[in-house]
Amino acid sequence: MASPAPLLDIRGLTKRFGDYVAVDGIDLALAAGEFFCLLGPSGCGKSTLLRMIAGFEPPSAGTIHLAGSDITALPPHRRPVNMMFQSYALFPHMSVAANIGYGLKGLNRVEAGARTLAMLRLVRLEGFGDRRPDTLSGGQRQRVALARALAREPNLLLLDEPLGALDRGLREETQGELRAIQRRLGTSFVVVTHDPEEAMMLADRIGVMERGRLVQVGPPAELYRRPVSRYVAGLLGDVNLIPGRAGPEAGEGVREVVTAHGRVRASSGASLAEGAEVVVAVRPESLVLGGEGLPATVDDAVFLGDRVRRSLTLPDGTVLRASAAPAGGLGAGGATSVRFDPADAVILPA
Amino acid sequence: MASPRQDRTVARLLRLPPLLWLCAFFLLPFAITLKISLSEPATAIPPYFPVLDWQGGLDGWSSFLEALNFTNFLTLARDDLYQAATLGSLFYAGAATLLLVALGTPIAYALAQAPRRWQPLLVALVVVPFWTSFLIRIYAWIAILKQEGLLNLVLLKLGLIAHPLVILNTDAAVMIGLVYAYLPFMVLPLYAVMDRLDPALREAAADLGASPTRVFWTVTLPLSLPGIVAGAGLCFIPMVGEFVIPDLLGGSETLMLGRVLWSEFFSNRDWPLAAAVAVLLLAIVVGPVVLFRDSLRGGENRP
Repeated sequence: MASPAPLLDIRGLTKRFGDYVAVDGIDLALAAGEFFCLLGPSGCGKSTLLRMIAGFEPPSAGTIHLAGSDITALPPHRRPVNMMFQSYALFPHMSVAANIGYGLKGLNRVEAGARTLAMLRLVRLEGFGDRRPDTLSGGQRQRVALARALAREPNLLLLDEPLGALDRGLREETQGELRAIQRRLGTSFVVVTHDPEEAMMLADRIGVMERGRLVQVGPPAELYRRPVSRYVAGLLGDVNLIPGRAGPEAGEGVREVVTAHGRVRASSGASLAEGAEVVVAVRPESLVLGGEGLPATVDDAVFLGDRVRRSLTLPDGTVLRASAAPAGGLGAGGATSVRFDPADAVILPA
Repeated sequence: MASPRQDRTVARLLRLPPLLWLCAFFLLPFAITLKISLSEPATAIPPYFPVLDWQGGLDGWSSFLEALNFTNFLTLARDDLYQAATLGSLFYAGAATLLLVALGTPIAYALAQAPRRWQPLLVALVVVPFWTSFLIRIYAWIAILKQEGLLNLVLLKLGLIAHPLVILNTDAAVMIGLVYAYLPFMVLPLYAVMDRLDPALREAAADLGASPTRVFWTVTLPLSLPGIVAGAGLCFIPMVGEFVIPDLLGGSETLMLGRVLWSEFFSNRDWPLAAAVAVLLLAIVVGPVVLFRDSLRGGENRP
């Protein structure tokens, strides 16, 4: 965890709907100025977690502290947290300026007007203040929603699928913009998304949720290179899974795995009993062809410009995908071998 | 596959039954009423003069049109009774509409806020009174409001009043009757609109620091305006012509057009004048209908 006193400190947060546990004992600490992504499929509890932080769902158990004070029992309108809604939830009967200024009731008219203008400028919508939300494009509405949520200068902003309603091109452009705004303001962002690519693009740290639990929290690179489960490994990108049994330790954090075609070495995070069924997870770009390794056959090679993508089969039928710089051309098909650096491969429970 | 032309023909045919219905049960009776209202004043039974000579062709029509006269409407304009009745109708209907908005809005809001699984039951409770005859329900109010009635009995027993209140046959009784009878017409359209409001809008307002009261006044209520207008229209229009409630619960001083119409028709047997009152009533009611239709359209445009 970054700083000694986190901005947001969640302990044992749980939400039950009847017998269904939507959020299951989550512990999470967020540093000030951090960009955090909650990543997971729909129904994993990430939106419920966000709604509990905002105050829309009372937790069944656990506490939420913001900047040192307990906000668990505060109603939403008393929480110094703001939220950007997935549907944007812009007030259709108010102008863009009135939407942005809605939360500025504590300021006097002049200050509120100045803040509204500053927000319009921040999201590059100067001159749109008098428009009604229904006369704006989707991207413009998204920016109004962002401006409205930021107008009260919260130190924590919650964003529920902020880019979910935008089309692909606009989404990529907006991702960069969102990052830039977050950096400039220094506000902590918690973004809920189901899109792993978006999470990796945006976040300082990602929290992967699965069935109400946070299964792994860490920077994108760590999650990509050191996933703790097959689920996380598959979520963040293409991955090869080679089945085997856990073998003996083979040095600092490295173990042997006995596969159907020989022993390989890979990094082991979790403590696994020797002989336990495991998989070795290797990214396609970490597979090296040739040399001493597992016997394999190249079935297909595709030239993709910046890399060559090969499809391989192990003798037992396991299909692997390898991706490499096209330095040596496509190369010949047929029999070869594959190997990988133990540091680039992780042993995961099967 | 149906061609666009066939589709259009089908669409036209589908529009036919409602049009025929309107012609047979609204336009035709109205034409007859209008004709009678423009006849010579007469306290008798039909036919009222002039009579259209169907065999007379164009000449018959022109002599018929020339003979029509506005005497009945002039009577309405000159006689204080009809002015008072018109104003009375507008006053009672207007005041009751305001009361209905004030009372119906919180009820509809509570319905829309109630847990999902309770809502069908609660809506059914609003509609349940319709299962009893309207007349019986109004008669029941007589039993409640009269001097030795239920209300006075309870208030006396509780020691809240020393002498029975005189409510029946006063304006207050008419107001109670109107508000009671028309409340569902206010609540249901308003509930329908409030129920469809995106809950995220209220959440967004709360998230931006608005107290529940401010959320209601700045978000829920303005966005429910189409429902309020629809409900107010549905109540105001029939209340202007209401006859049963002022007749049963009101006193002799309760002047409303519906009552005047009835007495012209049945007591005075002056059909032409009664028809003129009916046309006047329609004219008063058409205004709000036009307004109400426009604001409903405005409501549809909102997302």
